[in-house]
Amino acid sequence: MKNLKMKAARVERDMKQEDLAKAVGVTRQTIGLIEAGDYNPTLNLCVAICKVLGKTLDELFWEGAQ
Amino acid sequence: MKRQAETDERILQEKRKVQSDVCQLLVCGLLLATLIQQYFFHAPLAQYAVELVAALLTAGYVVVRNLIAGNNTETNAPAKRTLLGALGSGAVVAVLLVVLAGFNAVETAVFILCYVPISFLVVQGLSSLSARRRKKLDRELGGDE
Repeated sequence: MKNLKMKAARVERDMKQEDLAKAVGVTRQTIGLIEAGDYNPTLNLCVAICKVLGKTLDELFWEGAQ
Repeated sequence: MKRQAETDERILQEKRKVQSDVCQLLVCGLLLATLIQQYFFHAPLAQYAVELVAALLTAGYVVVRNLIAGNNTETNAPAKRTLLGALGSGAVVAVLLVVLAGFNAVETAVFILCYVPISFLVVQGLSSLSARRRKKLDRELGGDE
């Protein structure tokens, strides 16, 4: 399932995939795969992404969250 | 980009998967090479000893690493199941020895009499080691506070 919430949060911060990737120490492809729902990140990476985007885990990764 | 690739968990995970697959293929290749040389080419032990020892060491390494990590290595079976496993695998190997190596009845019986108790004791020993390790982990990490 695509992670549109993460993509929206990234765009909201005016960040490209490359910028987010650099900030959390992964490659751009990994960010792309997470947003496309094709890769299940570890909790550590989820937390790092949340910190960079200023969101909580619920807001970005919990399916029921608005 | 290169540094990112080095720390990227997805890339590291994929690399480990590839390495694991390569390792499994190598072990299968070693065993296959040993069997082919032993049973089809009737080669002397010296010719395939390195492959055989490497395959056995690899199998031992897998078991020991799993024991150290406290993983369930399928060796924590009850004694009855272990005995059945030893008898079953002994029967299969005995059939192979008769068919491929031409063992006679006495040789086969001696093999089974040696193999079954040794196999049973080794598996039971590993099982108790694994259980002890898991109990230790439980003691160290199982508390709620």
